[in-house]
Amino acid sequence: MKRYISTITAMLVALAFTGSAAAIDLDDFGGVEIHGFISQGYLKSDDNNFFAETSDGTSQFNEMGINFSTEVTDQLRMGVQLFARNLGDFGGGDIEVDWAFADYRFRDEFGLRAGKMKLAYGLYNETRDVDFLRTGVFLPTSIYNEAWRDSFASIQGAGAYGTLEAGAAGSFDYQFLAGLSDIDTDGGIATSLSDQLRLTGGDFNTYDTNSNHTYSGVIFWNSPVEGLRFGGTIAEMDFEITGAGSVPNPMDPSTSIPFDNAVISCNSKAYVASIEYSWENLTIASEYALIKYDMDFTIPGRSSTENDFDSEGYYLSASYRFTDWFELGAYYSEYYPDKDDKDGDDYVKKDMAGFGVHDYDAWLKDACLSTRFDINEYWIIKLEGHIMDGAATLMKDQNMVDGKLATEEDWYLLAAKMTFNF
Amino acid sequence: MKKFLLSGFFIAGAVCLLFVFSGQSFAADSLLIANKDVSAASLSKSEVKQIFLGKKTAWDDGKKINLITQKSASHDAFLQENLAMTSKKYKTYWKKMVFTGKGNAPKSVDTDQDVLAYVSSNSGAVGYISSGTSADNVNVITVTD
Repeated sequence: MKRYISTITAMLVALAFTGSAAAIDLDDFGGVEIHGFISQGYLKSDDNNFFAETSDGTSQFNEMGINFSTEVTDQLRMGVQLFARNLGDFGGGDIEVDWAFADYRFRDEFGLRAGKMKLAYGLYNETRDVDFLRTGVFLPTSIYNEAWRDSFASIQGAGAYGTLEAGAAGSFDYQFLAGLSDIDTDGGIATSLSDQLRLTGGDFNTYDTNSNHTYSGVIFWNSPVEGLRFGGTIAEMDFEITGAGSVPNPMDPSTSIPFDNAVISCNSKAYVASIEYSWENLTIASEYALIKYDMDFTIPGRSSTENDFDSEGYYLSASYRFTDWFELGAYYSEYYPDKDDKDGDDYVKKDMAGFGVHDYDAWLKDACLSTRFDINEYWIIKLEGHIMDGAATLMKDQNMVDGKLATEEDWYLLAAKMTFNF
Repeated sequence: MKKFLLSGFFIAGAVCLLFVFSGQSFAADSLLIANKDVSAASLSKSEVKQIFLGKKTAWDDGKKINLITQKSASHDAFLQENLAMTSKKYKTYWKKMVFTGKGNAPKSVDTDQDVLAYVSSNSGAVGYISSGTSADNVNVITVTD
């Protein structure tokens, strides 16, 4: 509640300066530019909870950011963005460094960056936290999984980038990044992985995480056809989470055997194909992602279990700006956490603890319609509706009733959001 | 609720089709100008696009490209002719650069005269004016296909 009131207060103060709101340029301070945004949203679903208590309606959905940047020399830029967000229990409104890096451009074909940067992945991952840069409130979950957002948004390390001219063949934009990811003990990744252990009747509470390495390589081909570009992404995350919990006693399943210092290790390799066509006020995009997971669960001195599977997701989207103040968008998205179990039969069989898993927990199909109203250059309001089929990616903790998973197959989600940016 | 949302989809799709094919067009009516110290006499549309998207940041002699845009009707015409972008998409592009830390939007002024004043007095500067404006004290760059 306090965070809600402070967010609204901040927005009202910002709106009071709407008439003169533009980038703040501190020429007297070496030409530092300041930009920022504040957004507040409301979510309501008729059944399943979508990363927050949305079935009751929730305003635990806001983001705010402020950045400072400057050109130190003609070739060297430096900047930092502070960011805070709330989506249910995720984010907590804690101010964190979203990005902070130095960028040295040797030439247009080659530059280096070092520090904390947005992770290049597909068409829209770098800007997923800045919703005023797109039509809709939520990006398609099939590619941009909200459950992994807090760890997938940024990378700490170094990278190379550039634009390569190809004459009549157009041009290529590339980025290669290597480093480490932030993985919170109470973040989306830790919560998702511990959810899986529950299917066996176990329990897992994360108290330590370790990112071993994260790589990302993205190449976009800006084709000779005006507005048409193709992209390819290869990304890898390798990390471990350590925790304590319990597993069912095989001799007496009604009892549990506690463990400590157990490790869930995960290596994920993602392959994403992207296409975007932009013509006047129309934008059409489509992406496909295949993610290969290699997981191990090890209890020291006792057991080690492997779990390898591939997830698959894809979407098709379109948006059109009708007037200076109105834009309409739509997408259809499908996501399967295990592409070899699209009907969910195997997923139901894995429910040894009688958790109440359904076949539709193995997929999420999402038809979305978004409206965007630009009140002025700095103030945006969005209204969005989702028709959902399936419950994959939803946090199980948020969808339990009397110890059983209580997700519904067909459900709806409405999202409203107001954003101020300068 | 489901019928309401499905109806919304169909109506939105039909309205989209009407607007998409109504279209807009701009006559070629902008001049690309540069400071007298810029030696380029002509640029391809591809090069002009790379310059105004911040992907080409230096002239062939290594001098930094000093970019200026304007807020008048010339802006829409120039973007449409040379970048095949609407002003809204151009603004969104630069906001993406700003909010990912990769760049700052080019300086923007109000009129052709403001552009001329800036370009004529800043080394490496490049901008555009409407074709009917007299291009004094600057080089006019030919844009080729």
